[in-house]
Amino acid sequence: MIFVWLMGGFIGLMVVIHMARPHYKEHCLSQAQFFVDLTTVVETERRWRPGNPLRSYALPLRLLFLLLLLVAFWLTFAERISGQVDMRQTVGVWLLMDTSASMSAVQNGQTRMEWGQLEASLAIAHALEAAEGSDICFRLSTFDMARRNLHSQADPSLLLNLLSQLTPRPLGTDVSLVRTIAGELSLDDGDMEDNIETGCPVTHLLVITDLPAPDWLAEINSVPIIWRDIAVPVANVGFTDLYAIRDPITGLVNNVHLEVTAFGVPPASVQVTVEGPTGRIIMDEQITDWTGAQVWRNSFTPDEEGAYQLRLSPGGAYAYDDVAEITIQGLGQLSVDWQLTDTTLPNLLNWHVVSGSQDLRVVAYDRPSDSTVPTLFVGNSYEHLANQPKSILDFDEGSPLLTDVNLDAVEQLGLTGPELSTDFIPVLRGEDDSIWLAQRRNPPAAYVPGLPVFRDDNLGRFSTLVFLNAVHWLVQQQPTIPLYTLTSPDQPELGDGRLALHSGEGNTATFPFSQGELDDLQPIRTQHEGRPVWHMLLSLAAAIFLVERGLAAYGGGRWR
Amino acid sequence: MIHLEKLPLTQEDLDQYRFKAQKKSRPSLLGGHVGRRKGQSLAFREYAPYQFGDDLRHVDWRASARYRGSKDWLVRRFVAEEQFKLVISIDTRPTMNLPTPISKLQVAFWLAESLTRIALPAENSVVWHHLFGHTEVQELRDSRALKRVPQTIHQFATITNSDRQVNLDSLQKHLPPAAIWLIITDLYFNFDKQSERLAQRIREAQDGSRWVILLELDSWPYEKDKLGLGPRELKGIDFIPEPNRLQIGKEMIAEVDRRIEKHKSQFLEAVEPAGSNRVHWKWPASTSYTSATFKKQFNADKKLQQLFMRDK
Repeated sequence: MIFVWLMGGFIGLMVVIHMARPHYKEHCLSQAQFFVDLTTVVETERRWRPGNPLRSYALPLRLLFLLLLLVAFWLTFAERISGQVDMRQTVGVWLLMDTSASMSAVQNGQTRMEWGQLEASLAIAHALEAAEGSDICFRLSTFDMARRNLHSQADPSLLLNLLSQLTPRPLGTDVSLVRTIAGELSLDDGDMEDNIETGCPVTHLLVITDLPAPDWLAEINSVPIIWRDIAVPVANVGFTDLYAIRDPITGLVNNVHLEVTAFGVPPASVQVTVEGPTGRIIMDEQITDWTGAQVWRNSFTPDEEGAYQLRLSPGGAYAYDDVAEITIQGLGQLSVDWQLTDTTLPNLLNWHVVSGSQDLRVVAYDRPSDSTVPTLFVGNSYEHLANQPKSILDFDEGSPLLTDVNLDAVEQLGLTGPELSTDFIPVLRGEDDSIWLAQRRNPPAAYVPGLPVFRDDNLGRFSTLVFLNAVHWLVQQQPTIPLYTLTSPDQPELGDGRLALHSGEGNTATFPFSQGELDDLQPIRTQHEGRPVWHMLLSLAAAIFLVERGLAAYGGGRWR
Repeated sequence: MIHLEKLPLTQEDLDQYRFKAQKKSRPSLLGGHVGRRKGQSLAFREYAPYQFGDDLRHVDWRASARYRGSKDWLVRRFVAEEQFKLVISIDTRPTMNLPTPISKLQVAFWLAESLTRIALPAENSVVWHHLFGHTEVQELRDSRALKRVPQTIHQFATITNSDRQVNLDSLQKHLPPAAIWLIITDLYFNFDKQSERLAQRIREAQDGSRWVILLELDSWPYEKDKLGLGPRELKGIDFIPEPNRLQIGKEMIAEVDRRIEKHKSQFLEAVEPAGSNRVHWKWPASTSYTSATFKKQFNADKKLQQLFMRDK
């Protein structure tokens, strides 16, 4: 209140000054020279005139300047006072709950999520007890492969309710999310803005997870981080890797490789079963020997396309890695419509020669080229090589047909080339415009100068390389379908070929390592202060002062 | 560049002014001025009996026949036209740019243009001259130059200066005997060596049979009224008195009255007897000067009318 009076007093004083001072009306005279040195007759009367303040353009500026100064002064004082008042005891807990797949592991008869919820309720109780008479607030977020902010200012009952609804998601764990949050809290401005917005100043970061406390916790000094690892080592056996062994040329699946890992003490015997699409058991193995790194590897050869069910029994504490469903498409041998007389190569490569095959057609270069089946046109240039090297005129650098081809060596071969239909795009051309390699996008087709000649020289290497490059490009026109995909934050549900074989999730046998205790949830003195504005007011006052002085100097009498 | 208002008088008004003036005889040639007769105009004046030496082409045979016998031929007499050179010197110093809204300079231009537009149709020549500075004169010779008047005024108005150097060198050859020299000024220039030169030149002109008219534009009554009494911050166009914040009172105004009169009288005494040909145009005290004020003042001024009267 005293400031209001003080402010009013100063403003009133300024108005009185303006009332007392005469208002000099500006006047331009052609007789101004005759007024020089008339000081002797200057009348120094000062009259109280209510009109004077109204006539002075400078008065509002001066009043504003004074007002800004007083408010800035008051704010500096008030902010200091309010800062002292707001230095109050607070417990602001940001609870980060792990919802990764491993939280579904069962230990001591309950899932780790249930143990985590219990730990969280204990933490809430500790915080409430510690914050007796102090402010307390909670924020709740979860993390697995993504962070989810569930509530920014929850009371204990709401928090418990939210916690009870949490379930593990079949996702991996990205611990860096916790580090990111801790990093955000160390950024004062962002943190304070966030805190002001949420109304819950964070004093403690409580992480409840089944992962051991990482080393980098020691580097975080923004707020105390209490890392509660609720894991109890439990044995688990699970699939840790599944991958297809594919034909390097065709990409077709030849075999499927399995990797089963035992974490902790393995059971005496684990049954591995693979069931084919028609229900036929393809593999049924007993694992009894866990020597080495407790990893068992095996493979099976699928004989038909479709979904395969893989099962482990018993699976251990973590269920998501006990079963897996994989889908196999593109299987076995390449079937080729081989229309050349020399069948050495398909026999050598174990290709299935089928007339009318839709996978690949191999024909002589002078045959019609209108088929929609991927077609490899084979020339006879290797039989008509020139006696001298030929330079390359041009080549298509990005063509897959030239992968790993040594162009310097090609120039030494003296290749020739036939006339091709105009829908072919030359990939490699000689100086005489002869086409050595060519391809067509639609329908897919490629031209090579001849079949591999199986010689250990430049021609042998070139002929084999470009033939296989061409076949590889032609048969890879269809995308390779993976056996499975991993769940992701965008698609966290299992099924549709998605598995939860995220790295480390099945390792439930690690020993827990917590950092910090629930007793650490003690009130912390926090200073509640907004962004100070007094300095902005002071800057504005200074600017107005400069303007007022400038106008007084150059703006004429009405500004004085 | 001065912004000039359009002349409030039309060419018809000015022609009427000349005709009216030409009907009157100039009362006396003050200042030793001699009008020069040259040729005859086409304006018929009277019939007169033929005398030896009269031009036979001017005999009006029909009128003579009606006038009895052949011995008494009647010849037509015409109005003799007195052609002269009018030199108009305009003071373009900054003080002439006040007051507002109609400045002394504006009135000076109106006046000069009016006199020019009256003089030129009567085949007189007019010279426009900056009283101060170093500029050349602008000369308009006869009625054909009438259409060049706006251009001449425009060129003349582009130059205003605070140069205290009296512009006499360019004037020398334009002041032949019997010329009329009209000086339009507010007389606020300092009385120093420069103004002494001007006064001396005026005296010489007067002695050499030139008619010198000193037309003083006096806006002080109006500016004084506008200034009023009370606290004022004074400024001139390019001059700020020290101190410039004054409490204007009656005593102070009386002191300024005295200073102005003293200042003017210094120059007027120096140019005597030309001072007797002084024309004093005062701004009305309580109302703003307007184009109507100018018309009224111009038409009422007897001295200026004498410029275009016939000699006796």
